[in-house]
Amino acid sequence: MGEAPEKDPYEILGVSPLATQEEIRRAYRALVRRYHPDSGTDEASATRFLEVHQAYELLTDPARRRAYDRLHRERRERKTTSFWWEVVLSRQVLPALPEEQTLYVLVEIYPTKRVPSRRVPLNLVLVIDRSTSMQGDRLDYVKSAAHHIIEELDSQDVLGIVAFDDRAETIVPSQPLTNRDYIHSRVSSIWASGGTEILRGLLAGLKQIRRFHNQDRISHLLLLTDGHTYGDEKACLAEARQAGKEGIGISAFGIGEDWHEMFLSALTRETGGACVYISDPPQARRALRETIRGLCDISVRDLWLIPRFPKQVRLESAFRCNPDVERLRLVGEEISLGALSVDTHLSILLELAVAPMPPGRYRLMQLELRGMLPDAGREDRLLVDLEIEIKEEVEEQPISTAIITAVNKVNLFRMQERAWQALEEGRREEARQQLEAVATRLLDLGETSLAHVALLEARRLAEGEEVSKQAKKEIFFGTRRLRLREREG
Amino acid sequence: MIQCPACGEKYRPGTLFCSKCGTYLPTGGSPRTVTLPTDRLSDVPYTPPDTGGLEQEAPAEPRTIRVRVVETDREVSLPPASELLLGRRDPMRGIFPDLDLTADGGIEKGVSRRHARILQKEGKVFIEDVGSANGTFLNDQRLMPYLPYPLRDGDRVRIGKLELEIHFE
Repeated sequence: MGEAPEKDPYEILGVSPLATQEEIRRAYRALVRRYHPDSGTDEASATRFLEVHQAYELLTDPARRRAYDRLHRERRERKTTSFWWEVVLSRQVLPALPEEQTLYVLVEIYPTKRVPSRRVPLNLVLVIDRSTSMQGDRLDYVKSAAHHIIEELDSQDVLGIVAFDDRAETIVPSQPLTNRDYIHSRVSSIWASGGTEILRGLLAGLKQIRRFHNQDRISHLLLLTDGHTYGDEKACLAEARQAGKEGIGISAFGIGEDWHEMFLSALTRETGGACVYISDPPQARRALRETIRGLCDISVRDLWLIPRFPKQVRLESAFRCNPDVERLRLVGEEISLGALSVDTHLSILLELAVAPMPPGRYRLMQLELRGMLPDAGREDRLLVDLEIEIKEEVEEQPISTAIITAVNKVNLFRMQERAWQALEEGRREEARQQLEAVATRLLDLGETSLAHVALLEARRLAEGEEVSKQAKKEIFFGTRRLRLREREG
Repeated sequence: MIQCPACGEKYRPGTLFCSKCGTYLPTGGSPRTVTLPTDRLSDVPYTPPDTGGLEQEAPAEPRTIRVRVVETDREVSLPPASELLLGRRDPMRGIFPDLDLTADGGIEKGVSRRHARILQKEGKVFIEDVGSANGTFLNDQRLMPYLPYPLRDGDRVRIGKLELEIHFE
């Protein structure tokens, strides 16, 4: 926070830490009049004026104010847990209505430790699609990315490599990186042939990864493919679910346009891993590297969010909305959040349905967050009870900007999902309208280029053409990654 | 149930966005400014800070201000009023700026619905940023929000990324 004032901005403006934006603005305007260098009063002071202005800028920027509050509180409370959270409700007071109501809960989770005490050794397996369609550029770039990974990992890390087409071959059995020359030569020997059966590769990869999977390592399977797999999707998902339960992560890298984004993102979702679209083969190296770097930065793993509800409250949906949008899956009553990396924060949006209740104070839910520290083998836990009030008469309450931004982001993702669903079920006109609505919202948010992609596809549908596979991937992954600004005007 | 005013889809009360057309349900319009506290500023009385450095002149009637949007070369003569709002029109939220920049690519150029004001007081003209998201610039200098800056004939003002030329008549 380089430019932040040293002094407490709340103190400078003379407002309470709970002050509303309006109160802050009022205090600022009064002080500006007093201290402005041109004001001609005895109190005119350029230094004070600047101080007041900086404090005002910090406190009126929701993201910066939140960051300041968080840092401040952390210092005060001397955190003992390795992660911290903030829980915000869309409304604290609900009107007594004869029907169900929607309530949103935003959970923001931050790591509290800046740097892990030491990097946790990795246990990686690369599962490489070598089917005929990979021949040429695609396989060459993937092999080159693999060569780089071999060089970048430490000797404490473990690496295994599996190549698959309609059968799987263990190119390099999982082993510590002591004989790099051998591993390089094995990677060079991968040639393209055959079809794509992801299950084969997945099974062989998981077999290798389990040999070295234990508490002291972060185990992650990296799947690189460019095609559809046929008939084995269900079995793949079951394998991924099992891997997720064991604490093994799976990330997938889809190259080109012919792979199935819904399937691969469902597969990685089971383990909290990432699904990455590689439109151009040379991007493979950077994408792999970023994912592996993220694994090195893991400060908490096996993060679980456990909501417990009274019978009047029901969970409608759970989404991650930062760093990207992803539908979260419930395992029993628990939500798997995967791992938490240094310098990132996770935002989780829960949509609740609240049954009609007479006026009074009620317990809305209990929320628990659990996570494993990768190096200490210790489990940390946070717990909070949330309450709401039901009243006959309710004044209109301002809704937190963070909640509006989060719901907006998730909603845009759902809107494009609706479009693809309509298309899949043959309702082309509905799909076209839905894509146009997506484009309008994107334009409204200043996402001009993505909006144009959606508009173009809507036009193609109107003219009886098929949607381009590339555009579908751009919209699917683009709407997940939107960075919505919090201050908009 | 509540109904989306734009497409008629039904939702439970408390739902924030229509998942069919994306409409922000609590106000029936776009959410872009709903949380911006500047919207509530309209009823706060405005008193410009005492600019002691400038000599006082006899009160004068407000004059006509001519604005040229540089990129689209559109010229607008604004009525002689002591206060003029620059921004983007939004009937849903009751925002009707005196100079509406929607047609000049306002959204793409980062123009807020309530972006800036041109004020006239005692024969002097000022520009004030009213807490816009992307800022107001006078001759490439960013203005501090809510602080009126003196304007001169021929000055260039940037609203977000939209360049304007100001002339007095």
